[in-house]
Amino acid sequence: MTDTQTCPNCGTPVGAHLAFAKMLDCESCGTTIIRDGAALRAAGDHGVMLDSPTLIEIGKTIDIKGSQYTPIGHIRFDYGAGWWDEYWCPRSVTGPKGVWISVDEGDYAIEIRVTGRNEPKRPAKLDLGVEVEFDREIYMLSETDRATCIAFRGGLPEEINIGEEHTYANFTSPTGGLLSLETWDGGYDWHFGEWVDPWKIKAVT
Amino acid sequence: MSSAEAIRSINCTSCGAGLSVLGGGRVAGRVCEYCGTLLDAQDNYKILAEYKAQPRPKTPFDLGMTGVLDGVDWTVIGTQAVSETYEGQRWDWVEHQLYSPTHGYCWLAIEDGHFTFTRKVRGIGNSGWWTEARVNVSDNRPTTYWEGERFQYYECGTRKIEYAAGSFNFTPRYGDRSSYVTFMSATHQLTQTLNGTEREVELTRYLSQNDVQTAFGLDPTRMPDARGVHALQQFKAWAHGKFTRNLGFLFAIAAFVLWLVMIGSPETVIEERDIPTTRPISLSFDVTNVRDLVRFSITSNANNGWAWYDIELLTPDGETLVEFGRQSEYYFGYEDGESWSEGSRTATATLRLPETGTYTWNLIQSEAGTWSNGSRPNRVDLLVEQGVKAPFWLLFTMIVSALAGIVVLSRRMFHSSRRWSGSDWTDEDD
Repeated sequence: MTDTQTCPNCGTPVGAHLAFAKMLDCESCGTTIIRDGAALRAAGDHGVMLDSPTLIEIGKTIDIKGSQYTPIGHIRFDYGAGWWDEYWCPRSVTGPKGVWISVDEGDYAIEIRVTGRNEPKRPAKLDLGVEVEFDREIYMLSETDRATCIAFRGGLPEEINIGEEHTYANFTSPTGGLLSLETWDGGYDWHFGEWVDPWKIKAVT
Repeated sequence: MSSAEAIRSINCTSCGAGLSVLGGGRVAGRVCEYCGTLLDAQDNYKILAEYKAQPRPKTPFDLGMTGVLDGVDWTVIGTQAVSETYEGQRWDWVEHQLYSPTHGYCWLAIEDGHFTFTRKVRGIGNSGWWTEARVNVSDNRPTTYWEGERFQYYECGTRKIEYAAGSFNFTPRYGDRSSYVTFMSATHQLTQTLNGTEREVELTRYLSQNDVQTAFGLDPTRMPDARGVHALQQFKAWAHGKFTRNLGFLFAIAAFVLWLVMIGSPETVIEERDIPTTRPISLSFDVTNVRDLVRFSITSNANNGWAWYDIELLTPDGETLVEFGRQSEYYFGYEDGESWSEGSRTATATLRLPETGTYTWNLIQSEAGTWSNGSRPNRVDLLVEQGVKAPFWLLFTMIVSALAGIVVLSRRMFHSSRRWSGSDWTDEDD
């Protein structure tokens, strides 16, 4: 795979971000491009992303408490009354692990995926107050809802479809730790992270 | 971010009034400013509670106003009046919920004409969660560190919503109460709030009237008058306060050192003791130092009596240099179990003499009297000293300079004392 690969729909060269992404959108025609082994295939539209004021933008490096992150992908989830955004910052830019930065009206969280043996046990029901154990600490479910993916831009580490419904659940520990569970048809992901003060997010110029 | 942002207004589902849609997607409650009905912003604005419309609290802000604080765009989306009552005393203030698409929901409060800005923060402080009960059993003023900043306990209490209008990221019900414990650092207050089962930590800082007025373009005629000193109000130093303080103390120290240098023992020119005053006295003496002052002292043997002395000083040429009078008086007694005394047996005069040479001091006791069972003064000790310094102006400079420094210094201490005067913490040792 090289930087010279092109969009299967319009032939526009796709960016270097493909090296860090499973999926990206063509900046010219908006077609979703999935990396399937060494080949690229078109997979539909990338949705409508309304412009809104933001502290985080694809391709613009930010500094959070001394660590720098450069988002290459952006997903928007609609929860009915509003939406929240998730930005993918891959490992090659940020260091040892890729992170997600989620943004919901001033609430910012930076999270890494929890996999394998470290995964907490999924609760049978996502009722408020349900507890899970992670890293020898108890986390309590404090918020849960459903949301629909309405748009994405840039490169992402996994496939996501416009219109795909996700259930999300945020668990918090007594010390303020954040654990979130996202489930969708055919999959789920655990993420562990921390809240970020928006006043501490600085653009790197 | 709100999906409803494209919808700029709705009709109140209770009274039908047109209401602006304010805030983002996390707005939970919308209170109609016309009829007071609380609407569910997350469920088609269905009616959650109906309250009798209350008079709007006095505030320079209107719903929908926008402004820029700390480089962040804010919109005023809600207004609530809050009160607190303790031991018969009631405090009232107004809070406006602000919304920023990038920074979320914050508060701008107005109390006694002072403005504060409050935002939610994560992390509760290193000493954990505090309640009024925990504060009450604490031996020392509770302290907590938040992000490396030291906060000391300030107050705790329970606040109550008296009025609400506009949009909020919660559902504000009239009469809702929340308890809080507030800590204060040099610049911020850290407040732990418990509302039902929901815990929040908030950070508050002071905003100057000028900053707020400029940020939101407020009408100056609607700005409140600030009363007293707010707990978070920063000390406003005089333009050259530090310089004045340092200069004042420097001058005071310099004047003190000079005073120490100057005060040496004067030199006795002549001393005559126990001279009868029944006749005029004439005393000649040589003055060799006219650079400094010459002091003349008369000490009588007054005991519950007084005497007046006419004095004449002749120059070495025999000319009268000066004529003046001095009184010596001394009274004492025992009254109501206590001894007392007043007056002084010694009278002095300090003069600057024009030239060196032999001067003549003529002295006549012209009048004398007694009090009670006193005796009439009839003898004096006379003393002439040269090389006498006049430290008055140095002492004056020292005191005035030190006072200038103290005034500057005490303003800051006084301000700090007023900042903490609203704290409900009392040290048992106080």
